[in-house]
Amino acid sequence: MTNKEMPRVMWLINHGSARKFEVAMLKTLGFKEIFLPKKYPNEPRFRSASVDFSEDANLSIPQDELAVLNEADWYGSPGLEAWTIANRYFDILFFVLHDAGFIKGMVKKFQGTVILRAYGLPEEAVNYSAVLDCVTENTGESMLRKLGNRFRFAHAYAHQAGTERKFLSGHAVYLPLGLSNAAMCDAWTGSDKRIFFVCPDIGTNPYYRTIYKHFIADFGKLPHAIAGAQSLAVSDKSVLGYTPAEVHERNMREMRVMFYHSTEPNHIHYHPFEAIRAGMPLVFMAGGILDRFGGDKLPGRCKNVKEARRKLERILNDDRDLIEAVRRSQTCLLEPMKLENCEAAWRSGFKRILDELEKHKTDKSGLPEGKKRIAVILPVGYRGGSLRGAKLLAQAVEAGSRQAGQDVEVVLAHLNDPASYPDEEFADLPPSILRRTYNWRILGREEAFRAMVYAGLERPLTSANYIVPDDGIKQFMDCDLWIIVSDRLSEPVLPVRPYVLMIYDYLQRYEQVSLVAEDIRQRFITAAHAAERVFVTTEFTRQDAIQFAGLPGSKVCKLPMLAPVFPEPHTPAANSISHMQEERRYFLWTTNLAPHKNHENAFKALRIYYEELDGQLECRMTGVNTKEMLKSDLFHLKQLREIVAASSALKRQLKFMGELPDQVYQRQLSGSVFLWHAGRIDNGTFSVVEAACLGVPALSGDYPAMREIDAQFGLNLTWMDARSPADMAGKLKMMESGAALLRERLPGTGRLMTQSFEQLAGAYWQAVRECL
Amino acid sequence: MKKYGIYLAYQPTVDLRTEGLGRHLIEFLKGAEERDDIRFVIVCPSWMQQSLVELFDASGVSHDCFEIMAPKRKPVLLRLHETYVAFRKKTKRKSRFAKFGEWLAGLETKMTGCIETKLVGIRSIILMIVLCIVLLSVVLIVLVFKALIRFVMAGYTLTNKLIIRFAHHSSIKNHLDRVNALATQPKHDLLVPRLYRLMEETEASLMRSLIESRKDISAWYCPTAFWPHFNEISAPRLMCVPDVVLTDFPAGFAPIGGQRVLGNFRQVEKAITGGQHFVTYSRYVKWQTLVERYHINQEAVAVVPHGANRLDDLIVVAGFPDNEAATDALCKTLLRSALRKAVNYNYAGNFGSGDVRYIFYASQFRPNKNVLSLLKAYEYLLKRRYVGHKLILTGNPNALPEIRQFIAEHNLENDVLCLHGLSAQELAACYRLADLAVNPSISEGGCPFTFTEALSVGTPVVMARIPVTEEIITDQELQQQMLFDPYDWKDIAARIEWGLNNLHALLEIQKPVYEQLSRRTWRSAVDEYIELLDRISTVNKQ
Repeated sequence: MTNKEMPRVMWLINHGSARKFEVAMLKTLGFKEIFLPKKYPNEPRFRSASVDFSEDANLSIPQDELAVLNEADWYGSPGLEAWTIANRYFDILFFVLHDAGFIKGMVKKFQGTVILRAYGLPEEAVNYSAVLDCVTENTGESMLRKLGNRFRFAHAYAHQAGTERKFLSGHAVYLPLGLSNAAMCDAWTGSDKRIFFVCPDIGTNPYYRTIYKHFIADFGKLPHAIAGAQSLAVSDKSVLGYTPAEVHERNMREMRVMFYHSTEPNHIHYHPFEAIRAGMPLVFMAGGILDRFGGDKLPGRCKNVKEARRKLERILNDDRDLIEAVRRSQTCLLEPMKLENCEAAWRSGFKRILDELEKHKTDKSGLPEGKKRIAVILPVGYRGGSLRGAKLLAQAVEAGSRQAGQDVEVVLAHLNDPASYPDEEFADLPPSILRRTYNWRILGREEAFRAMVYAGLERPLTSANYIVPDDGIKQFMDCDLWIIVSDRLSEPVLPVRPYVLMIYDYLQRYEQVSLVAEDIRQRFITAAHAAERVFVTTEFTRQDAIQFAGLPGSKVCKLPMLAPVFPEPHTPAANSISHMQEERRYFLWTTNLAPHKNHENAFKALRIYYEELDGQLECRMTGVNTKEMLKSDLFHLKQLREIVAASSALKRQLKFMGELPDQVYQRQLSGSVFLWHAGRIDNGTFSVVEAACLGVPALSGDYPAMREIDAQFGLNLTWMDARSPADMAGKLKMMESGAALLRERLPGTGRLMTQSFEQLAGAYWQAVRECL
Repeated sequence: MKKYGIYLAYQPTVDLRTEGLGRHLIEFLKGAEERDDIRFVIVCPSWMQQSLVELFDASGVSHDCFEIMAPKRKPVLLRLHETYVAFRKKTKRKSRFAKFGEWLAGLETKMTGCIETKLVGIRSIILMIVLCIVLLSVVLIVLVFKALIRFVMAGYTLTNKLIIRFAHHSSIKNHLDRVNALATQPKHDLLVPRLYRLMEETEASLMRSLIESRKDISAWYCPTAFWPHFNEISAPRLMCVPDVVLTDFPAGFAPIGGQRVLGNFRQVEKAITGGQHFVTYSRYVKWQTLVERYHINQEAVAVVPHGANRLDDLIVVAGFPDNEAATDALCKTLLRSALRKAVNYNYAGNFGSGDVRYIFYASQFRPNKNVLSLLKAYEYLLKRRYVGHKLILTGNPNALPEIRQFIAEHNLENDVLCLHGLSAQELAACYRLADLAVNPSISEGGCPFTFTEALSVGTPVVMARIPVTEEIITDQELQQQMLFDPYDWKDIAARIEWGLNNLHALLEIQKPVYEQLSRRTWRSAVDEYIELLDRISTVNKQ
């Protein structure tokens, strides 16, 4: 290793004592440029963390890019820009296990070698393999396996690799733990006849709380003082809490003896070494790492509590022989921690790391870069708005990638069900977007596990069944990302590819929308948790995704609503509106048979409108299956027959038009005085946007999604309380006379064009790119 | 140094750590800790001594400020009961046979695998024959052992079945079920209160002997009105009556607890009517309950409001670059652990990220807590006003069926989370992370702790307009902003919605009042109690 060859290193750890030693060691090995993170989680367990800017001066990278790195969260989501800069300048990255999202991002984005730094774990039964599983919900091993030899498990104690499972032990490299300054500084007097015990964070950390309780139970009756910063005050006068450095040093000098409790074979604290350096006698329990450093003959070593108590009492009672014997012998414990004694192991470890890195660079240089392919998948037989939404989504992703100069291929996938998805439904799909049919294939746990192994993603699977979209070709493995339109997934998706869910609403929170069993609903939520991201199009749904589905805010991405391409605003058709309206005195009510469309209140409102308010306009109802509305046996529709039967005005004025072809619908809409949207809640309807394009104002139920549509498209909708028939009727009457005025307040062409999908495609591409 | 006595006589299975009065006692002694002119002597039944010491140790109460007196040994019947409960709690270990069987199966697999590996690679027929013999021998030995173990296990199972069949014989089963109920839920069996009363009589007479032997104690204090025996003490006595809530909700409490609760109620009445000097937490309880209902001479009743109950010392951390963020991080960890206690954990488990926003009401479910009105208000806010917050409660919905029913009928199982049995730290974290704390309770002994508890961790509060609250929150403007009519769920909803839309403003106007109230520490309250004890002991001497 010569300095000339030395790559830059990102040491993404904030532990103060570890940093002092390891940065010095890296410098000794010849690494000149080291990036240190400037932000770390504000969590009590980062008690020993601190920030060090001193290495920034040695970095030969542009200041603005360094600023981006310094601002990034290297324990969570540093962001695309930070990863791009990291790849530009750095080849080696040290990290600690903290957050699954960081590991996922690092595996996807970082092209150098990543080193998981392992300083040992307190509990013997728990190893890093288990912690990796826990932090990443069993996905860590399969993620890191993708890196091949670009991943290294850097353990701090020689025996530690043997305690790990095959994957980590197979990638192990021994980089021993050390002290930046292991020289003796013996100024000990021992004049304060108390045991010095170090135990921070008793109030917040169950691990330390247990240690504290054991210490008090075993040695509480001997004079003692307990050092270590306390996040919460402890009602024990012997607990010193935070002390300034000079007080701590004085304690080290004056306290009679330090007791070190740990029998943990894979973990050690720094303070016993501090005591040894200061010359303070150290009485410690056998079975821990100190046995590996000093053997089993040291006079300070105790096999049990009784022996420890006896030795502590002797030291407190001025047994000079024991004190000196302990002090003299314990210096050997510092030897393995000295930089010069650790250097050979670090040098040999890094030789392997750098050799593999070089090999990787050579091996990968010949790999061609392929075009990414993204599947937009309709998981069930959707029609109407959802199908239109999926087509728009596919187009937006494609257009967005093209605008960004990063062309991708987009595949639109739907169930192999010609009845739900006739060819003519896709006539408006650009030829560049390929259509693909599929059926869901259900795999039992064993089959699913085999599939995961074949995909190189082996991990324990917990569900009894998994589903995978089977296109009869390659089960969409040719696509880099699956965007599934809605969360209606009856079983978990086989996690062979990252997937995004596009969720329009959580109607089930507000309405009894279907007879879907609670456990199935829970599966929908689980599917969202397993997704890479969840896309939503309204703030209301974003909030529900967090508040109702329990998704972390960082997983939910709000995108602008994409409205279908409607006739150009102010077309000749639109200009003739007033003329047509004079001839046809009616308003249009778009609906379907779903309960949340609020039929009962709407019918009651119409009755009031005609019978009490002398309403003059005819009501024309249109939408899927609406012609059969009064014949339906659906519970929420049965009541309607009675309402209509009791009102001759309703019989006369309410017309059931059924589902109309687009052009006929638009003609009807153009000729109406206004559009009526009587629903009480859903993800909103774009029919009001279409109406605005044709110069027709709209009266809508007042609920969050419609408010957001109104705001995004600037529609100036008129609102009614969809739960009050009287209010609805009153607003219908108001629209009858006020529609002409409202037409003037409709948005102009320019305003509506700002919301075209070409304009919004960039946001969609940006969100998709984050997931690739 | 003056000495005062504290009289406690809880039933054997009561865990003081979970009782409000346990916390009251801790605050009381902590307040007294700061004074060096007094010392408390606690007298309690033999069965309470250990749990009291544990309670005080866990709460960091110094042993210097109190002394505990109790009859020396526990009654034999109680000791038998405790031994039985301890035996039942013992975790079942795997039998040695089962362990041996597992070891044998492992050995078989290991050896078979090893021999198979050898077999497939062998090229010499002689070696193959030798190995086959070895393999057969191993298989035979293992089979013999397995058969032996199965035989023994079958015998064991048969014996067990016979015992179980015997135990299921109806009359025997009834007795065994009773024993089981006595061990696990003793308070639900009528025999237990009866036995306890008898045990209590004996214990009380022993306690009385101890009390009478201490002439150095100037006066006695009883923190609750559960124990009529307290009135038998000849020295001056002060009894605390927090409230008698059953008198306000006779029909509401009638279905709860049956004869056991009725028996307890009679005890309370007996204790009050035989009392000498009284103290309550509010003027309302003094006048409405003690004077009006029980005809106690108003001069014998003093009012000592609570000290401020603060929770910040449980969760607000120090020593970090950003203490607020570190506190939130700690609270999120505690919230995760609290969510594990949710009745509907399958769903609540989704909120591990801690990003959830919610309204919080910390209370057990009892008729006076007005939970149904809060649920009605919440349902309206969620489904009519689209307020997306969750409602987190700390009661057990099975305690009041109408609450469970309302939640189910209105499809609120996934929005109303009931976290039952929270630790003090978890409770503090839930307060801290809530957007708004709410308390719709109709009847309380004193101003609900919600106000100081929530504000101590920076969370604003809206509460019911009830007399005990108005005694403490006296500022008219603040009353307008934060109090609602607890009998009108629409008003509750309106106040909550206003609160959520004006969190910062509400917090700002509540802070000064909180600052003022928090100056009244438990030390201040204890001083007033001691003054009362001092006064009654002096009056009696005169």
